[in-house]
Amino acid sequence: MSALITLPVGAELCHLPARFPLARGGELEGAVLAFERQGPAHAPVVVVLGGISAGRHVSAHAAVSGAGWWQEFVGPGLAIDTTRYQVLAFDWLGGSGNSTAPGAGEAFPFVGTEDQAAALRCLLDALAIERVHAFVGSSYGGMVGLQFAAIHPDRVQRLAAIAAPAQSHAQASAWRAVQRGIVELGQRHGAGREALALARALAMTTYRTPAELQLRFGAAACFSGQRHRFPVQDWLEARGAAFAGDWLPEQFLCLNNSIDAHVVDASRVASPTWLLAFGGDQLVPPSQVKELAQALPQLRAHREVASLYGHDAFLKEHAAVSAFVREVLL
Amino acid sequence: MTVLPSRRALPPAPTSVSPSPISVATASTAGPDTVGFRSSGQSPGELPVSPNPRTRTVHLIGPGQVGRAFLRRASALPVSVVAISDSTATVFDRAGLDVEAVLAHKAKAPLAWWPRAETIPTELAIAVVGADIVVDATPTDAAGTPAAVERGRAALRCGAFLCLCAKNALAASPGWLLGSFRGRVGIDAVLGGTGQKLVSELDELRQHCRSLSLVGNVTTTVIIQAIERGASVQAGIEAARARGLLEADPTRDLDGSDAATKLVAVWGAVFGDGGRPPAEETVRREDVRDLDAKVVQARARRGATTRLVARGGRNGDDLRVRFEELPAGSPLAAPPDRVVYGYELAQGLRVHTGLAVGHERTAEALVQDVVTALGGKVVCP
Repeated sequence: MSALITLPVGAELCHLPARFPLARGGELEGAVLAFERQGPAHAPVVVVLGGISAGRHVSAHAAVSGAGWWQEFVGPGLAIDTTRYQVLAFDWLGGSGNSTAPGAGEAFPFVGTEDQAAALRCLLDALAIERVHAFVGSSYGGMVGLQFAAIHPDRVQRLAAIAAPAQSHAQASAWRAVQRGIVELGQRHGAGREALALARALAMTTYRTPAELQLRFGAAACFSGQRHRFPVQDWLEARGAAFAGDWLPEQFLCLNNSIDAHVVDASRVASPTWLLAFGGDQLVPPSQVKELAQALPQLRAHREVASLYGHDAFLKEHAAVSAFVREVLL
Repeated sequence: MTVLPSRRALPPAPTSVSPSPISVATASTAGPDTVGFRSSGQSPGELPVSPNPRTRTVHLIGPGQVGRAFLRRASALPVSVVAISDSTATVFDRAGLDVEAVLAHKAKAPLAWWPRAETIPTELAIAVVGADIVVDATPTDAAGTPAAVERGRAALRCGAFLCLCAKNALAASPGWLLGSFRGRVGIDAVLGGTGQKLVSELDELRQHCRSLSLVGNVTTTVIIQAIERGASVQAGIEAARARGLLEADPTRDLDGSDAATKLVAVWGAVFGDGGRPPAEETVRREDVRDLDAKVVQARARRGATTRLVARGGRNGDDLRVRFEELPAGSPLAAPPDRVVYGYELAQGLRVHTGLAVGHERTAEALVQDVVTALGGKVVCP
């Protein structure tokens, strides 16, 4: 039995094929994909997908008022102008949203970026969308975008891959392997949620740059009760606790593993592609994006932006990312 | 004779259950080593012997298409099929039936013609067989509802786990089936493979659910899909018939009765509070034969679809089954290979999807319930 699916107002649901085959073996039975649309019904479609913790709700709109994960980039008059484009986004299979995902204590098959791409194809079929105007993917969303464009180049007119590689970097995989180890250790000892919070805290340190952490949290530690308390700890604990409140350890493991197993043959990405890398990104170093750029048959542009925010620059560098997205959508 | 004394500790019988009409001592009319009804020395509180003390016994009622598909799957389960009943008789062997032989016979003749078959009422046979698990795979038949309810009562009174396939017993008696006996009733097959989800969330749904919306009749969805592709209503019905989805008398699928029964069953389970659910006859419904194909096709061209949606609120006075236009992204826009049951909560619509469509899938759902029964039972030392 999968995690409960409770569809909030404004969310829509796509029923995937009864037996949804997974690229690396196994299948999902009776799986569903929760998604959200905003913008004019018949406008060109822009698929917007973010990191593993991003979901179908990209930004506030008439049907769903709460702020979304890319609030500053998507909306009327913004980089992805929802008066001109219909924005389509979905919750990841295996993740913490309302798509099919593992429940507590439940085994779940491996879900790769190929499978997320296949789920998107099913969604487009269900909505009778033959070709999307653009696919704007950041981080894990960018990986899925590369995969989608490799498998279905005829269904995407332009791809914007932000902070996304053709294959996970060994250094990034090393950090994530430790995160999974923490969670699995916690699960074995009945402390899955606590372990998940700790793993997420570790992950946060990889999303940002050393310079940013020093700038924000470089103040002296408090010393009390024979223990030091460092300013960065509060931030890490808060981020970890928030994440663990929304996710199950099984869901984290599913998508964390999916990132590491990602690999796409860049020579098959036949859609026109724009790449954006961030200086200081520890997870997807600019050198990796450069390699990808060299392998792409339809590269339109390869931009690099220096950022204090590292990998999270796709969420934080409003001006630079907006300019890049506008360039893609032109 | 070995008995398993731990098994017959029944939960208190609900007040709506009438006293047992069964007299076990009078049931056996054949030799104990052949037909094997419980001997007069065994009390109603004792379990009949299993070939292996860890192997659970199964009594299948209704060896039709679903029942036969179930039996094929049951051969892989740690169970022993000790009895099979059709509408004419019960065949029973405490050492385990030769299922293939019984089915071969059944393909040619009613079970009453089987040597030493017991031509007693099925609910009586349930009591005298005393299997651990009773799988009732009879099809839904409105006229047969009282009998279906009696079979269910007989099984539960005997301490068996009851796996239901037909909807009518649940629709008629959701209060007690999912009340005192909740842990001993499997309804996954009844609700197209969503019954286990409903049971597992029942407490939450009883407390917080505001209304129900379900697309539970796959036959209608198949007909609509054919119409959306250009067929007439009649051609759509024939398409469903060609896929083996129509019974010899398809009236219940076509006139909305099947969907109404499911709605009443689920309404009773969630909102019934142990009382009687609304009568199925009071559910307003639409007949697929009255559909306007042009309207359905126009919706499809707009990117929408049409489904037979059954809805009901907590107060129970507005139960209805009608054809509705649904956007492509509606959770109720189920494809023709599944059912969707929606439960409206404050935070959104709880969605249960099920794939138990057709004989094979329905049998799979029955197997799931049997697996639940096996896991939930005390294994005899």
